[in-house]
Amino acid sequence: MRATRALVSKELHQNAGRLIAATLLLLIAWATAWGAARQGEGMMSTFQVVAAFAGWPLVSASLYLGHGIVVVELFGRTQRFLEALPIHKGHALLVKMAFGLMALGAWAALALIAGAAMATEPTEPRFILVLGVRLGAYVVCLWAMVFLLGMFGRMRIPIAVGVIVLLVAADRYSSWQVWQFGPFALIDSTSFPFERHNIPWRAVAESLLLAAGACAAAQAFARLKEGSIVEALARPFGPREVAALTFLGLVVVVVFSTLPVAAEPQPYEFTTDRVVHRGHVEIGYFDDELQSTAETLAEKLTRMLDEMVAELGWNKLPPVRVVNAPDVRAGQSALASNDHEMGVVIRTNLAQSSDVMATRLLTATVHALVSAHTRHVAMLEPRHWLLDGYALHLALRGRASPTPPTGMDAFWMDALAAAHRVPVGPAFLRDYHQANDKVGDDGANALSESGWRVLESEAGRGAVVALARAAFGAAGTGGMRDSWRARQSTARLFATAVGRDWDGFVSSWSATLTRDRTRSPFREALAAIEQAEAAVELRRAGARPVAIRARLNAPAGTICTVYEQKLPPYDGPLDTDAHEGKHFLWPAGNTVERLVEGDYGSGERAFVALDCELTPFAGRVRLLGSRVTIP
Amino acid sequence: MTAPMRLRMFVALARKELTQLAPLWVTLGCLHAVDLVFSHLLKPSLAKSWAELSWLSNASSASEAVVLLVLATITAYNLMPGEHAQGTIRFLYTLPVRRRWVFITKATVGAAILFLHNAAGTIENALSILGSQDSFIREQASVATAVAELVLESAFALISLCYGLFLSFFRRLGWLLMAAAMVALVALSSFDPRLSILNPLSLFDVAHHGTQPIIARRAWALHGGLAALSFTIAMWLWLQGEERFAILRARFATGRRLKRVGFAIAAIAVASISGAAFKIWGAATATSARHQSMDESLAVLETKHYRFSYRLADEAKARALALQADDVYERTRGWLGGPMDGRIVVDLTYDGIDHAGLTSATKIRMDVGASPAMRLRAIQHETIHALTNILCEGTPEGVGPRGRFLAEAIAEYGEHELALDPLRQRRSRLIAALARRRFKIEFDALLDTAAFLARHDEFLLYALGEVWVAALVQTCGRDAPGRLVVGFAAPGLPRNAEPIVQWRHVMQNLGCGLDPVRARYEEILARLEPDAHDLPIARARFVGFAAGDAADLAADGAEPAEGEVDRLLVFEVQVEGKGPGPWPVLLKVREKPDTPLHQIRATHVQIGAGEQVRATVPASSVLRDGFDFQVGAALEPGSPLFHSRWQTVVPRETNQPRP
Repeated sequence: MRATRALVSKELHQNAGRLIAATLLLLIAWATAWGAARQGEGMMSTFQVVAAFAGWPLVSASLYLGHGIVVVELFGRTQRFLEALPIHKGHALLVKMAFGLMALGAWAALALIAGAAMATEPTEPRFILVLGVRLGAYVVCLWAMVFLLGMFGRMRIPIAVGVIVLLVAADRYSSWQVWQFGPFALIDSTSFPFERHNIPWRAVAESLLLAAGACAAAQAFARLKEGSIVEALARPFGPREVAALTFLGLVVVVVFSTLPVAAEPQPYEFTTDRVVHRGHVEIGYFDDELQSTAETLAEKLTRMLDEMVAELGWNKLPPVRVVNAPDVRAGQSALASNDHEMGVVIRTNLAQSSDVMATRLLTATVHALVSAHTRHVAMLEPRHWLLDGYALHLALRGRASPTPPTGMDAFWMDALAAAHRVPVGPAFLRDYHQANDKVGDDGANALSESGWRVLESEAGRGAVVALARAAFGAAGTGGMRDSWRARQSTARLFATAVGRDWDGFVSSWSATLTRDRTRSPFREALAAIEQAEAAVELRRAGARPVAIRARLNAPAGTICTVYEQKLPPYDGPLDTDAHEGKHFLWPAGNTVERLVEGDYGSGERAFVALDCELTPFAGRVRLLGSRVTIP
Repeated sequence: MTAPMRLRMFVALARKELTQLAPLWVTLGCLHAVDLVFSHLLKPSLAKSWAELSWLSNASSASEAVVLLVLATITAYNLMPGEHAQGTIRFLYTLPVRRRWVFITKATVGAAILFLHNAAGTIENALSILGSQDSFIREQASVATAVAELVLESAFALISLCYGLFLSFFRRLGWLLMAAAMVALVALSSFDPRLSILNPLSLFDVAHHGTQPIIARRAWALHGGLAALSFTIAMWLWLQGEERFAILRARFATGRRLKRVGFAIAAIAVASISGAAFKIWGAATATSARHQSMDESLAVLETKHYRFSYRLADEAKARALALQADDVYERTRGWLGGPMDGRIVVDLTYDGIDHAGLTSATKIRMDVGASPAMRLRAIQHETIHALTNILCEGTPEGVGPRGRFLAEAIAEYGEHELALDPLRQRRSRLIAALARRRFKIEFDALLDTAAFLARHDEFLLYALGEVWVAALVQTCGRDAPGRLVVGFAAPGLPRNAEPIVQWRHVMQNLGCGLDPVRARYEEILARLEPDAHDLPIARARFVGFAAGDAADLAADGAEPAEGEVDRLLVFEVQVEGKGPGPWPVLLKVREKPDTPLHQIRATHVQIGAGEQVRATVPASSVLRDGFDFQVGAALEPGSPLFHSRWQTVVPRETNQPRP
């Protein structure tokens, strides 16, 4: 007993400064946590502050104290004096353990008492007992772990970091959740302040078992080779050891970053029996009235996809699922998910179905499948026009004699209208995403498709198939090969696949469009668009700072739409699904002025566009597309 | 010593420092090499956006700042402490150069390593830009931007290095001081946003006017000054104070009286800081004047399903609420279904100005000062939250921060269904329908609560959620909300997946697909849309700043200025709606999207049809660099308001493009 008292007195004498300093710092930590919790509007209980206090502040304090009680003693080799005393070898170690535990326990108890004193909720004895058991078991576990770490001397920090990395990795890459385990569950801020009746025995048991294991390990380690290993480890690291450990850490980080995530979501499945199945295609129509539409669409999709797979030489086709979505604008499709293994899920409005709508859906499906198959290489700007054009070209192929352009083909008209705003040439193909702003998705798709159409008319179906297979046949790898493939210029790709000169083809394509724009009956149909003018006007006064002024010789009642989208402070391709659209009917007369609906503050950026539905065009014709900064 | 000799000496010193810092620069070099190999060879990102390549274009670059701050501090710690611990500094002091030049050479070498690290990052970005096939990136990339970013990063690294040199004098305690300072700065910023300028990480906060970044010049000037001061103090401490400090430390270790005096001083300082913090925060959060003069003693009241705690002064209200509460519990349990049992603790001392009540697990905090009808609605709403939490044995991830939408949606729907208040429900749904059309809010957007609230009014989360649950019930049955909550708590949830994927996964497991519910939800909103046009829509435009005092604010119906108002924000407000009005209008201003709700300033006005009213909102100087505002109008007082989205304003007086 006297020996114990002497040992406690020695620890107290050695660590009094640390205890006081840690107490003062913990007081600041408590005040900060209390203030921050009160400041936020979500403070539910003063015991939330206790849980926060038991986190980093108490862990830091325990590490500081552990350093003083264990590491400093070993580093100074003063433990040799203790070993020389006529007491049991483990006695001094037990006293050290108990001393630290008492200090930590006292801090935790004070925090709990302070929390209870400040509480505005009922604090019945059972509740305090639950809190006490949780906090007590946590403190025991925490101190045991810190004590064990202290035995590893200079290795304690790398080991602690390693343990943290392992816990994070296990939490992320497996179904095991760190916050539901032992000490972490005990001070979990979502349950600690609120569980009033049940003691989480499982977490308590896990924590105490962990603590017992750590204590036993510490005792055993301290006696290993008569304590010489512990003593040797207490030396500080040299630069080489630091460098070696850093490299080891890097290797661990790299290995973990390449691990796959364990819990994957289930593949998409319909949960309704209102589904049409055709080969790889499933269409969920949800409404019995739409069954026949879904069946027709499924037939078309299956036929086209079979043709595409044969043409591109793919080994397999992932599942294609089309979902009826009333919120999707007529003629548009929203991509819900797209994965080269799990397949494509496309949302579209089946109730608004027509031939043109069906073509748009087929286009979107091919677009999504090719994009996923090539791991998005086909979406890179220099290739994107190829993908857009091929997808529409394939969708149009089933129609009666679309090529060569002999009549007033609506999609060909779209291409001619787009070519008026953005002439086909190297600039259009290189800056395709920017051209998209000016002509819209419909115009850009049609213009791109016209290239494939011209190629087919000049070099035959074989050239189309060869180019498509060269561009989209190979599956993406997500690695260096994709990068290499993406660097290959379109000119070389074209020359290799088709055997023709690229520049000559672009000239021919451009000439075809230019010729048709000046030929009857196209010229008359395009006259209104070629004479149209539209501009954005930015105003400093009034609540709506953006207006569009347009002149167009269109019949009254033509449906037009003002699109807008708030932009970030940098430029990139637009997500057209995120456009906010406001329809209006073109009034009698040639000019119109529309205020853009959206609310924008000074310095904000917006994309604004004006599209009109005109005959004989298949899509909406874009009159204006511009990115503006609000003054 | 001649100049060439001095130069040779400095070169030799620098070479020695480079050798000493080899582990650091070798590690940094390896990191860059690994990044280069991964991002350009093994896993090339083919479609990087400009925001990924340029932090100046990205509004949230805090992570870059944290990495640089820590790196610079590590560098500083590698410069002096080791040399002193091993005693090798004495050899350096025997060289025929002034001691301060030894210190400056060390700092210069540290700064050079950090500069090279930043330059390597710039080169990596340049490689990405050169290899990019994106026309937007080609258009935005410029040498001037790259140089500006490199200069700012290097300046930040230098500032951090100066702070680190100061902290490193205190060895391990320095890290603790740094952590404590960062925690304190974050806490202080939450108390007063103006103090966020003290946080060095704020140097990476970039506002934009259009695409032009605007650098926080005051913050840079402040930290530049503080860094120079830190450097000077650090130099003095390391060159002059080290020995004195060692002596003081030795005297501390041996001298009892000095120890006692030191501890007494420290204790007084800490007690003063803590006391001041308590007092300041206490004053700042005493939001309700109602409780200034009332009896603060607490009492407890128990019913079959609840334990209420309340101030004695509120006893009558608490008892009235308790009388109705058990009935609310029974009805809610019946509606949700499932074997829920457990007592709910209700703390009626909540003074929040932002919500009528809050719930975590099975504890509710409520403001008892509201009207009886409001109190009943609040207890109904919060009881649904509490019973939902019991149903899923805690707060599952799906109902946690990322899934707040689900929790609020179920509570809002349940509140309307159980309270049988069809008028209120209809008005809420009209607002939802109007918001869906005007703001094109997709379902996915509702699942990212933080991003949603950065852009829209919080009420929309409740209103759209209520319609969503209505669609869920109509499609999958009355018990679907309860089953959905349990589904989110079930094991096997793909926790790392996108929220929409998690929802699809859970609903698929329940045999109630997401898409049919989504289709129904859209149908309900589309059906309501024609009637939603009757709602008044308020618009506002920021006009400028004006000088003002509390009297002006009171006249305008603004909230109390709390002594920190140094200017007024002036707006022109108008309302479009059916009928002559007038309609109640609320104009709100916040500093940035994560501004706490209680720091949002607001002004109430009444506006008739065709009127254009000038409204003012009190502002502190922190709003000078930019702010967000939104304006909402209601059909009549007490009705929910339809708000515009949050609009950002960078005032013209500060919107000169920088750098």
